[in-house]
Amino acid sequence: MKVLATIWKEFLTLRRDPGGMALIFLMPVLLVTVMSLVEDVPFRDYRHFSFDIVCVNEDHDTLGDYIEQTLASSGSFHLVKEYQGKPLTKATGMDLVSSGRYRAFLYIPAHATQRLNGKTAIVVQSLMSGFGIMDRPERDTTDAVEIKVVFDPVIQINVKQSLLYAIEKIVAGAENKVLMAKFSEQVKKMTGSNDTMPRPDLSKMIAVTSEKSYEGFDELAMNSVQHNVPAWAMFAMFFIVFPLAGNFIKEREDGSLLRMRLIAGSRFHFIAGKYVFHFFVCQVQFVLMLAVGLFLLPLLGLPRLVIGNEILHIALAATCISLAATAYGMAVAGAFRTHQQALTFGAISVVLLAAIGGVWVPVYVLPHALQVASNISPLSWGLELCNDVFLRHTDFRQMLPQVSKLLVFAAACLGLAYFLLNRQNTR
Amino acid sequence: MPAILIDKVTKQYAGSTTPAVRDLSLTIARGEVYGLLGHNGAGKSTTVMMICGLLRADSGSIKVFGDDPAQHGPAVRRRVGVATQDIALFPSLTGLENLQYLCRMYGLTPDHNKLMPLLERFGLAADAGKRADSYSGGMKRRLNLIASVLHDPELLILDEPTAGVDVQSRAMIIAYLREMNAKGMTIIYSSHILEEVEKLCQRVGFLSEGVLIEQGATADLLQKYRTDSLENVYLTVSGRSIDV
Ligand SMILES: Nc1ncnc2c1ncn2[C@@H]1O[C@H](COP(=O)(O)OP(=O)(O)OP(=O)(O)O)[C@@H](O)[C@H]1O
Ligand SMILES: [Mg+2]
Repeated sequence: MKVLATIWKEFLTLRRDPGGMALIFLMPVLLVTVMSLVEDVPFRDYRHFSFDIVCVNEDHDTLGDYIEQTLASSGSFHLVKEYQGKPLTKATGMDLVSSGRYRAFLYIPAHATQRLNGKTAIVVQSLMSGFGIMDRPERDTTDAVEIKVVFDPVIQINVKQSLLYAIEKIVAGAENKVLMAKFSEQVKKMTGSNDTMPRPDLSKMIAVTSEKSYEGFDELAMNSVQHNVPAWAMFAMFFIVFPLAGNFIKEREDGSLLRMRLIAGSRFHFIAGKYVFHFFVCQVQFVLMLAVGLFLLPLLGLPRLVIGNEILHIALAATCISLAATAYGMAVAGAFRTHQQALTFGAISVVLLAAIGGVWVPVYVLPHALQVASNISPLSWGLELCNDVFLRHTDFRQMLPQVSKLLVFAAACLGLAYFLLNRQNTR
Repeated sequence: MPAILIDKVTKQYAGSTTPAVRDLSLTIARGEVYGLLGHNGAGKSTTVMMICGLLRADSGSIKVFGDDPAQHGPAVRRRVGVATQDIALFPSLTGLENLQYLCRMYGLTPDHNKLMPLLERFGLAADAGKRADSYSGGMKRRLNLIASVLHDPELLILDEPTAGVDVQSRAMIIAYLREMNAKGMTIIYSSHILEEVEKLCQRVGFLSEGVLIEQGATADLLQKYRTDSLENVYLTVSGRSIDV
């Protein structure tokens, strides 16, 4: 009864505060939408995207042509061979990248094929000499054949790495081919045979395939929406500390809390009512943000959020997260005397917990020390719980570790809050 | 048993060098209207807070209807109403909603037939549907007073209930308090407006720097200091007399 009255009172108060309403409901929606849009770019699949590479091939022979052809036919890259109608040179190609017009420059030097052939011959000869069928060759003292890739400094590290990786892979393949050819040539020379040696097909040796660790979803990749919606939902829900602590301290300052202290037996109900009300606010926030992921983001051209199909599991996750977030807000409200202290501490602590909790970037890409630290962030537990429910199709038993962590955290915060708020009772 | 029995109470705030209340002994009988007077910072509000158990005395003992408020706070507060010096209301609720909510928190069912006459009585009926933060200072103070009598307390403590209140409303408040006192309510009245105190209070006590420097029946004090106004008594006992 007293709890219900307090919930009603909180509802009226919030309804009459348009700024507070916007902060609680509009900001999270905006946050999730903008973050998903912005972070969509690095998460995007580069298969359908062709990346321009300025390419100068002074080799004009097997190796250079092979690299060019393989890159061009991969579909991920587009080779720029001339600029404003003029063929490029090493210097003009470099210029295009250093001036920032293009992001990468690939340079294959003259005589690359010839030099590679020479080096390969030495390798083959030294292999043969091991069997005593050829003389030991002189040591190869020349430098490696250098294929240069120059990057614009603003290029994203992962784009740079995938480009380098692609070129290295192509070059390794070319090396293999040349080595094989040289080897069979030598063997033919020695045996006097005219038959061509059968070419072994190396592509059939080892195959790396990828598989989903769960069943039931097709073509599901971790994308911007799938990361950002739950992540920023955690952030927004824990940000309940802001309106909650603000509301508590405002009431302390404008004396309404003193009134509660003067009413015998109202204190517990008052605190409980506030807790329950803000718990529901958190729940509404969560539903709102899921709705953004399900309905709004697809309209903006982003993938639709996948939430699995276990409504009960989702509800359990949302409940645990809201209980923890609201309890945290209560503890902060109890711990500080002034608005400024509580709000500053509240905001910064949530930002920090979000950072180590994998809200900005997923936990698995964090440095090891931070990954360990992320274990203490309730936002990380909540996020993990969302991923469990949305993507991994876990059952109740598998949700238990995160659920219990969140509930223990909530209980601890509530206990602390009750102690702190009561302590203010008698100065 | 008296309504209030304060015996050698001292209270010093943390971080303060002098006690806010020093060695205070005071008895207030049931059904009495007691005026608590003193300059700013004399210790009136501190005394009030200790009586309702929201502040703990460092030493001495306080009994309110026989109970120690520091130990049986809720039991004491159930029988005591306090109109605090600082307004204690919910600003974004309307006047009526404030009273309804507080009724519920007292564990009472808000009764329109009880609340509206109260609002009427204090001239707030027309504004009952307006938010409390849109009230003028005097209106807030009147609402604050109503909020402290919702649970029909046996003892009502008023800490400057008429500060910023206009003449008509002040008369309403005084009339109301007289009526409640006639029905048996004990009242502690703290104010700087001595005419009011003179009219209303049967006994008064003067606090100065936390010490009770004089107390007695209003009539006796006027006689003792040979004057016709409490103001002169106050000026004399506080050593701030202008016509020595
Ligand atoms: N929370 C507090 N912390 C520290 N000192 C305080 C606190 N509240 C009051 N005091 C000090 O205690 C003394 C008594 O204050 P109190 O509020 O009881 O005076 P008062 O008689 O009610 O004054 P006024 O007429 O201005 O309301 C003052 O010196 C004041 O500065
Ligand atoms: Mg005072």
